[in-house]
Amino acid sequence: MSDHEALVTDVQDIIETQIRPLLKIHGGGITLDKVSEKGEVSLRFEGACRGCMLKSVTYALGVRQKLMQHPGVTDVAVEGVRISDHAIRRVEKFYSGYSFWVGQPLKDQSSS
Amino acid sequence: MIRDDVFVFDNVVHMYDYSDENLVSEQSEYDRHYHVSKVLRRRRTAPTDVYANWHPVEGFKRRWSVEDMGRLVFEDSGTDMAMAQAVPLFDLYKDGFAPVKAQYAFAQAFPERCLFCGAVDPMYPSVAAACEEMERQVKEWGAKSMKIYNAHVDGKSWACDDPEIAYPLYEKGRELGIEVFQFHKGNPITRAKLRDLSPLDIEGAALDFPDLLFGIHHLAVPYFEEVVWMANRYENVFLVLSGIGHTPMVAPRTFTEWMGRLLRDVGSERVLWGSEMALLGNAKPVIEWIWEMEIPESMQDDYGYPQITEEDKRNILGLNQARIFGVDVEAKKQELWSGAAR
Repeated sequence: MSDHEALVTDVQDIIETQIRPLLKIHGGGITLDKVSEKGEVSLRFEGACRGCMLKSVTYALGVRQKLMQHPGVTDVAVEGVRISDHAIRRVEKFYSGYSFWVGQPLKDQSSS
Repeated sequence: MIRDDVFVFDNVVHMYDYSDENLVSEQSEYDRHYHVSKVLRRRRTAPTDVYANWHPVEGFKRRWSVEDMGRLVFEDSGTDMAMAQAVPLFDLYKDGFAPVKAQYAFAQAFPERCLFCGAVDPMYPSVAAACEEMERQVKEWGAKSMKIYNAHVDGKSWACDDPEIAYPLYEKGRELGIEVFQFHKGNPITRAKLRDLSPLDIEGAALDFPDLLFGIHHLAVPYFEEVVWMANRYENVFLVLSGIGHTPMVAPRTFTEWMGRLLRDVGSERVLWGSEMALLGNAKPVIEWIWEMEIPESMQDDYGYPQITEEDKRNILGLNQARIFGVDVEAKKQELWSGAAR
């Protein structure tokens, strides 16, 4: 498995175990479109998330920060969500040192 | 076109008829006075401008001519294409605030640059008659969209999600291939109640007719919060900057805050430029202002608003309208501006 293939698998695991279950609580969802060779992750909100006024917050805290914690992920974009770099930097600053994990990633669960 | 390649497609210009002959009653004069005077401070004229030859209020109390409008819109304002929209205010003006036939005449005079947006009202005189008239405007006059004004001063206001009154219009439009309905919301310009101009009645229609597009004009101010939520939730709702597009001339920060909010929560793909020419005068200064505008650092920091990009501005000023109405922008640019035509 190449480094890129491994990264894609890890991103899919994080989405499946750390992100999707939380979005599902409110009838939302997310689809992975692409992970570039440079580690840029492109996603799409689905279901209730698409028409939610708080999707920018969900993106910043619930999606971006979780994925950015993984080595190799360099950027995270969700189609139709745009916030300023100021806002992203603020989230990174305030949540620096805090874990976003709500449970073990899928692969860790299977190996434990 | 501005900056030599920015395609400007104005969602809404009006061939107004503010003539005495078009007033329904003496009371209509109060509404007309409001229409022609409220925008004085936002209207720009220059000493050499033909429009300044008229008294700023009295000069507008007339029936606009195709020649005047053609010069204003297509020669002086940097606008490549426009949609001439009728306004069915039959409670105040016998033939409407912007008569259907006058918009058609303008579109006919500039067939390569102007689309015709018809208008009907199911209360004047009936739902059946409105559907019949819609069919005539589409089949005989080539209407590409329908303009709706549901708030009136004579007790005939109706709701845009009324299954008995409104839905037959959308069904008829669907049958005729009209996919875009546009609504005057907020921004009362008559004595009609502001409550009747709430945009919340678009929600049910947008849900029940997902194959149609619902355009909300004037950002429905003061119902801005409501339309942002609705456009965020329903992808078949788009917002038009008509009426409030000249706000930067008076309150640039207010306009910039609106734009930042729209970029963050709706996206530039569903925000359309609309000038309301001729009422607010030549729109070129505002078009130029929008092209130069930026979301200041303070708003990016305080609200998380993204910086507006050149792509956003192109979308808003013309590309969105072109996409919605199937205009090939590159072909149109070639048609309009190749050779000496410019």
